[in-house]
Amino acid sequence: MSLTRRIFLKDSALAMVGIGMLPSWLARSAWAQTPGGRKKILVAIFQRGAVDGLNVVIPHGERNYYDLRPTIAVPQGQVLDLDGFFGLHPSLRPMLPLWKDGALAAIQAAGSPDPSRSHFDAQDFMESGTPGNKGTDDGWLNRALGRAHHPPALSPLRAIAMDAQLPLTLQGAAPAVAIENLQQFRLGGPEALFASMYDQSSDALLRPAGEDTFQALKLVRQLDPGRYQPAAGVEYPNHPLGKSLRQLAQLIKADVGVEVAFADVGGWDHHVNEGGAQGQLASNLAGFGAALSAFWTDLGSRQQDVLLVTMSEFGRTVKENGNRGTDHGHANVMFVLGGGVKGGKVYGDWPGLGGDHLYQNRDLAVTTDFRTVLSEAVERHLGVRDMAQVFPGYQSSGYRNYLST
Amino acid sequence: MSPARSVATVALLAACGCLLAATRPPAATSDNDQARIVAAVNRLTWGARPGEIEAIEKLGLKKWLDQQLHPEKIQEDPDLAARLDPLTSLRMTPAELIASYPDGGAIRQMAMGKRPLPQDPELRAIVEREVAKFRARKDGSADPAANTAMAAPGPRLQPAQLPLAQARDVIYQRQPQQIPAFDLQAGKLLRAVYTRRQLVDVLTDFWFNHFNIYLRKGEEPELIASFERDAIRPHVLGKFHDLLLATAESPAMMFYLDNWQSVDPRVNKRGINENYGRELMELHTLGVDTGYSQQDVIAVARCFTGWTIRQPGRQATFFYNDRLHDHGAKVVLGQKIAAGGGMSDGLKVLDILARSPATAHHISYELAQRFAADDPPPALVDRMTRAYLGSDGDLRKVLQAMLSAPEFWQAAESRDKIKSPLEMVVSALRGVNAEVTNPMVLTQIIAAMGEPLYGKEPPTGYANTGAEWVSSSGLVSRMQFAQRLASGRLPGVQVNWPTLTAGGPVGLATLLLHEPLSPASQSVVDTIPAERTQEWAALVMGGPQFQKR
Repeated sequence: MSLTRRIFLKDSALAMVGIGMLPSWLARSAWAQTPGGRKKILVAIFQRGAVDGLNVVIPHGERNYYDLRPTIAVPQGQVLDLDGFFGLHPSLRPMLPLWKDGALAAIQAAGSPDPSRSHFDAQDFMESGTPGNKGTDDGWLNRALGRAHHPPALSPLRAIAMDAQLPLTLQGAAPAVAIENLQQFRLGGPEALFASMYDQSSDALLRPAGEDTFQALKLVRQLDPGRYQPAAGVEYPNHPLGKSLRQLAQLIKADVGVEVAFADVGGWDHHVNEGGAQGQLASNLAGFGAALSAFWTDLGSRQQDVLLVTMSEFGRTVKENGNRGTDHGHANVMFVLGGGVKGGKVYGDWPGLGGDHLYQNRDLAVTTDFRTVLSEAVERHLGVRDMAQVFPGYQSSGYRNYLST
Repeated sequence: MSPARSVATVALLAACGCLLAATRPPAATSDNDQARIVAAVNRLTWGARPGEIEAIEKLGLKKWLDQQLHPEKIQEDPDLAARLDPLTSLRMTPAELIASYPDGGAIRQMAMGKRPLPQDPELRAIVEREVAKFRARKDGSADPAANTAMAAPGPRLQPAQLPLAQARDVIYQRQPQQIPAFDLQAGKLLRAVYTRRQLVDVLTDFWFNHFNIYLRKGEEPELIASFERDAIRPHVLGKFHDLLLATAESPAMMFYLDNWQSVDPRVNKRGINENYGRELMELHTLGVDTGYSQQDVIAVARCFTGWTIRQPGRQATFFYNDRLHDHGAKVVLGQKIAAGGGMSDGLKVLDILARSPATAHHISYELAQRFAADDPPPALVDRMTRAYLGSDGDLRKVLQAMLSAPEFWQAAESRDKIKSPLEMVVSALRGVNAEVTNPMVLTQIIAAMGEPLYGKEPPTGYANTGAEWVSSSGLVSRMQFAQRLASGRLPGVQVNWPTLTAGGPVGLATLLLHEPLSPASQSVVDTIPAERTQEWAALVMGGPQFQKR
């Protein structure tokens, strides 16, 4: 743990100790009235397991796509055309209105410069934001937070993962919490006594995690999460991502000071029987698309403050394998969804699926470093200036300019 | 420790004379042994039961370690078999499991007349109901009323409130396809709490996680019982090569990492599937970044073509199909594998990998990480690696090397490992001598803490380090569990609290922590009147000290 975190925790602990009732700075209004208005919020969605991006934003205008994927290609008539060349998988129909409204865009052929096809390594590289460097023990989104300009009173829910565990993306110097289920996030009577015990623990992991936890508990108690009603007409799908985003929407709309958030969604590693317009990928995408769409509508007037970015550790082989699935590949697709997004467009250079253009003769080549996409989000949406701290050793050769400036 | 007890301990040690006394300065013997025994129990078991530390003191640590390393010398708890008895699927072959608990695919096949209905009248009635439901869904004629009419008869019982055998039967009547997962999770919890062969059980958990298989990808529920029982558990103190081979030939692994469908592209255009070949090197043996290339991944995958499953939906046994094998020559990690080797190609790959120094290091490092420290001392890993290489991968020798290393004991006595959710829950249950009559709620709690049993989807398994487990959600779940256990609000768990709390917080802390509460924690606990035992007992178990081992 870094020094900055210890200092912060010490100060915040002093602020909390001995106060029986909720300190005024934790009250709901404090977050709504921060100077300069409401905060910008960056949401990172990680599709763990390497989603097959070529069957998500589909290059239906390229013959090779159909030649190389005889059983899993989505037939042209079923692709939801976007621009005559690319189209969305039919399961993503709920996302189409977002695209047409200009809130949603995609970056095709994005990915990591590192050649690893290991889920484990590639996820770590993408989460740390330092491809090829295994020594990094904090995540890009945490570093982005640590450097952001912020008012002195920080919300305990400033950085939150909707998960049972804190992902590497959010680990680091700035306090961050993981909450899988807001309704079950409570302790009752002995909370203050537990807090005091953890506060005095000498353990390097338990003490700071305890601090973050007890602050978050106080705030969530005020929210009364059991009574949350999404906006009229919004129905979240019965899908893990739907559950995560429903809770996140509640936190955002309650103005509790969320600045960065993370949710992940697994089940994309389709080596066998991936399916095309229907099948395993299609059914997972249906939940994914419905969750994003519900989240967006539910945000209502908060859409202007939110930018959501999706990513997955690498793409999958262009050619389907003999098991009607795909193996680990290279470049992939990322979505950006937000009030400031210049949407309705597929960004990035398309390298093509022809033999000469493939990475190592088999995979979609990377033409946009994933850090370019994330840098633009961190710098322009969150307003972070010192980007060298967020993505050390990386200098973008130019943003894709998917955000309006 | 209470003064009375420490006096007793000293007297006991003085009377029996310590077996290990010769190796250490006599002046410090008794303290060291107490600390060392506690460290051994913390690191090598799921936690001490009341009286266990004293029993080891009496037996001698060395002898106890030797027994744990030779579990056949330990007489198993006679009640364990009775506790596991209702979990019949744990004793079945995959074929028996498939026949006894038809899943969605089997129901579909029966509905389409492609598979006979079961003979057993009880199962047949259940299956006929499921087939009717399937047909109704397919025809689009399913409406809520029809669903209700076809639902299982009888009142809606809450299985978690019932004794294990009855709970299981309720689930069986409603959703027989849930039984394999139910049995696995219940069995894992019960065995951890009650087996006397603790080290073998901890090692089984470690090695299952090393060769992780996810419960819910597809066919795995029917295959995992055999995987754990036949491929993992018998080999955890044997040769790594045998363990590796058993996993390679296991239908569960074949299915989970897709090798059963990997074939010579010249025979069938399905071609090879790289998934197993890659994870075999990265996760099971060499470790990531140890010098193998994408070409090696492909060559290994070619060597394993034809390693498949016989009748996956019915028999589900290992089967080498020579017709599907790529018979060409291959080069794996610089070693030539001549054409025409057939099944021996894969066996050669396993030999190469099991004997590799990279594998010896990777395995030793992971074991040291689980048992000694998140950042294991290099000297310890080196000792274990040498033991591995000098014994042709004898895992008992590797553990013996660990247990004779001063670095291990130094690390173990520091009590600096965060308990996994399973370790936290089981150590509490053992510590309070709980009677577990139905583990359903417990396995749900362990999942909420961040460790769904058999539920880690990627082949990496769970990390062996504390950062995997320390999160806000996880901590709140741990404190909630402590509160529920202390106040008797855990269905299926009985604890005789009056006997445990008779000694006050100091006595309970001794029982659970085998060290005093920290002064800070003690002062917090002291603010609660002694008669409100539920509250202070929850603080002891949910507090920071009990989260460590």
